[in-house]
Amino acid sequence: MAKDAGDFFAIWRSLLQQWDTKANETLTKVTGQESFSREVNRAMALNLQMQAAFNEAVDKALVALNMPSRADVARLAEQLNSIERKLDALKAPAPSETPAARKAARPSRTRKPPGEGGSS
Amino acid sequence: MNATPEALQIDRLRQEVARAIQRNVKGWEYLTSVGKAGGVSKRTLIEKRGTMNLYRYDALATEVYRTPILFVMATSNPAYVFDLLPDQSLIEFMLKRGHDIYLLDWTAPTAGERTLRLEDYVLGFIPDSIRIIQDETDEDQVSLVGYCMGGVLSVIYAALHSPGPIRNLACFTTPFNFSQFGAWNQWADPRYFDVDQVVDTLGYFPPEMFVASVDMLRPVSRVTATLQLWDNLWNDEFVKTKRALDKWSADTLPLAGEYFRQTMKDIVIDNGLYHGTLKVGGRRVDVGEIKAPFLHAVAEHDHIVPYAVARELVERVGSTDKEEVVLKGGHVSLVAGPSAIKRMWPKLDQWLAPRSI
Repeated sequence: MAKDAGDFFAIWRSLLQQWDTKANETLTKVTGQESFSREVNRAMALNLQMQAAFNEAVDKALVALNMPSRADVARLAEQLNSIERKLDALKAPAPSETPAARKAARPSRTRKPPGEGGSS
Repeated sequence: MNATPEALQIDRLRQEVARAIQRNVKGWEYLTSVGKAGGVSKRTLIEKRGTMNLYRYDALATEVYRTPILFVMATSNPAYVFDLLPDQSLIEFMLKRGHDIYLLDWTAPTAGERTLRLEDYVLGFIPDSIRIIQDETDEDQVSLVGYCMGGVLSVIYAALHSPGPIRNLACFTTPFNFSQFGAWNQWADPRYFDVDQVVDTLGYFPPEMFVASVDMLRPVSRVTATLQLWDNLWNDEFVKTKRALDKWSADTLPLAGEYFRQTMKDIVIDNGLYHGTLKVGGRRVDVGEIKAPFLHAVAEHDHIVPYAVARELVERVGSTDKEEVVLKGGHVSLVAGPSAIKRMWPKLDQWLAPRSI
């Protein structure tokens, strides 16, 4: 700090760092209180209740309109993925992608650490 | 020749004026471009199963160590923090040092995967990946390297499969004594936080909630970080790394509902991993069963997984060859950025190399 004396820019940076530390300390004393946890979680629970009610209403509306829900589309996507995986498994690998070719193309597994005769 | 204090002050002022001009020029560039991050090393996706993605990296050395390494990423974030930018990639560093690298990475779980449980990760994804690697490399043993919650999954796997195929186990900032989280324990107090309501309503744990809870650990740090970014706008390297890490942080993933419910109840609230009461697939998890050489790298200034949460893991694992290193840095700067390049990466290489032959 002594070498920074009189250096406005260094002082500003140091003050910024100190402000960060102090402000975080002060605010985490508030956020770390039981009452903070209780109120934040109460607000979140209320939000989730509203969301659940909204989801249920949307699901009922979609059924009434004879339209697929997000869950139905997700199930379809999952089934398509499953079919794609099966098709991929049926495809013959390219000659360079066979397990034997891949193993042959890889470097030898004989490396030693620098101190034990290996290169660094 | 010693310059006078006045001359030094003038030099300093000149430097700051030059930086101020650069800030204006580069500030415009910053606002009109997008950050780039992730996946600089050449790799192949060798197994994909929903949220699970197993990658094999192309070797960068003509001769590699015998034991392959499987990196296991935390389930909350994508793994490109290991492979952030050219010359700022842990994966690239380890490949150049002659290690054979595989990576278990995660994408957002699909709606059909909301029922995934710890068992799916620990008794499914990890052992299946190890079997694939054993088959590819013709090696019986694999080293596991886990980061944060990836470390927890690796520890549980290793405890349930001892001695098993694990040659070495290295963990970064891996939580163990979950009662020491402080504010997070308060927010997850079951009297107020209803994990069942979250999972039953949403089916997953939203990334926004996770990011908000991390931000609340240091409520003003985003403001400070923005001011520090402005201060360093003249410095291309600083800006590049900051943008890449910000992008990574914004790419936080949702967590599968049942996996989150089980983690919260059995690991966080009951502290079951620490007390030895956690059961996965009907089997009790005892970290004392781990016998493989063990390294735990923790960060001195980690506010996400504070040292008190991670500290006792090394004491409790049953390995005789075990070590804990406390390195300068925070939760993320331990694995990525200039501090990691100087400290953790060389340590990991030096620890693994003699144990990988």
